[in-house]
Amino acid sequence: MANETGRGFRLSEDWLATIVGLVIVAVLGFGLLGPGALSVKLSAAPGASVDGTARALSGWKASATLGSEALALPADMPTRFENQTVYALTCANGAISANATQDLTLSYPPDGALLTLDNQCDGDLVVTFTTDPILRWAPFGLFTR
Amino acid sequence: MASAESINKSGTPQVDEVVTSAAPKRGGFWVGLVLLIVLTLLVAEIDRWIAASFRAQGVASNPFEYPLTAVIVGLIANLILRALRLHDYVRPALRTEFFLKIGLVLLGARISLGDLFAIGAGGLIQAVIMVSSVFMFTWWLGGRMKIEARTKAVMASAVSICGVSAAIAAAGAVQAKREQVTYITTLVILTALPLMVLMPSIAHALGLSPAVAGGWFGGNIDTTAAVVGAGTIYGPEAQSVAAVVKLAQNVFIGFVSFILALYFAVVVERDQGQRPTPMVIWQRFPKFVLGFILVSVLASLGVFSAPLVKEVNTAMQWLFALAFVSIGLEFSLTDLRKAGWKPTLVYMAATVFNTLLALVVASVIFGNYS
Repeated sequence: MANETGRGFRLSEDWLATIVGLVIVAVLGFGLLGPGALSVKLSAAPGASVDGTARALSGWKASATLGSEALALPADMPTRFENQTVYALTCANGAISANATQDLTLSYPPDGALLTLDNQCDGDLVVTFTTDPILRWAPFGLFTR
Repeated sequence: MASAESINKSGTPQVDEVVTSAAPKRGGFWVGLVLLIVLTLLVAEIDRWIAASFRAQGVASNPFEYPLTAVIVGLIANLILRALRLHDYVRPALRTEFFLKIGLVLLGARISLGDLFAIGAGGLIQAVIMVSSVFMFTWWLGGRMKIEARTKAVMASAVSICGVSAAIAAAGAVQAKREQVTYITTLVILTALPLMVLMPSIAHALGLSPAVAGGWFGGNIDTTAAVVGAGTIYGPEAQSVAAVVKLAQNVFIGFVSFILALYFAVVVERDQGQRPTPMVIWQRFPKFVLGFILVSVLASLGVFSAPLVKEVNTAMQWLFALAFVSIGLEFSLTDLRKAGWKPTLVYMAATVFNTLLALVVASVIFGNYS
């Protein structure tokens, strides 16, 4: 409730705090600044294939491990997933390759892409795609563990 | 939360004195705000270092939660500012209640009623029994010991629900003083730390199954981080059950805060002979509780995705850290002394009651759990 004073109109601290809180929730919670820190993890044993889905947006960063070792990624590893597109990742001879194709006969998630991982390498393969949090100011994440 | 005014025998203004002689200076506000932000960043860095130390010991979550670190950092700055005679200059920036209230609106994003139904009947039944029984016991014992109503409300919420978050939410709902919040949150954190280490050892000695042990930890230890810590020490299954039981109890924050806000507006703050009309109740009711409930309802409807809840939660932690640094900066040892040892005794008795009841309830509910 607002307090009226002789010289004007002032919001009480309760209402001001409520409005500020709701604005923060609207900006962060409704994703007005972005979808937040997303993560998609694909894990495949040697000789196995797995599928996954990811939101169609840019800013994805990939990392991979083969066994317990970090795996170097090719320069054309996707950083942007397009809607209704299949991204086929293949591991062979200790290296990953990526190939994007559009197949409209498949069923896609809304505003999403399909990911497939085919592991023809010797060890367990884990490929992880992540996006940055909304607020990229480094200290903001200090409490996030 | 109300701010108090007091003058000691020599006439020296106390820490919580309301400044009336000198109008708040705009320069002091900005200098104070910068100082507050710098101190809060320092708290975050210290908190990260503490968390890393616990992780090195195999404890995944930091049980020494940031509010206590923030109060200690604020208190040290408080002493330095007083020695330099700069404390009154920066005081206009110390908007403890404002930061807490904004943070509480954000807290709603973490409280989803969907969680309550997703955890299964066992966790839900245990949560209902534990929250209602421990809250009523603490409220009753606090009354018997003549504990002030707001301290009693903050304490009963902290012991019965989920420690620091519940204490902050209840403090906002009943408009408790900052000394009352500090007193209870300090008790919560200092009690949770030894319980996190002791309870897994006792559970081993009693030969409890992982599920019963997890139910016991989740139903008894007040802070979520310490619950997860105790579960981690006992094993993955205990950790999972402990987290689920704690999660179920956390959901009660909103419900209890709303009831407390209403109870204090209608009953506790009623002037003698005054009839609490709807308008009077509305004027007294802390409005940000409505914001908290609105956000919680949206979270329950699944409006916020998990990554976005995490973002809102991080913003909430920064606001609470700002608030607790402010509490440290405004800390009044005199008012804390005035509270005496009775709240500590009641808190300890409530913790013992909680421990025994949680053991019985967890044994009954999770005894045949597989």
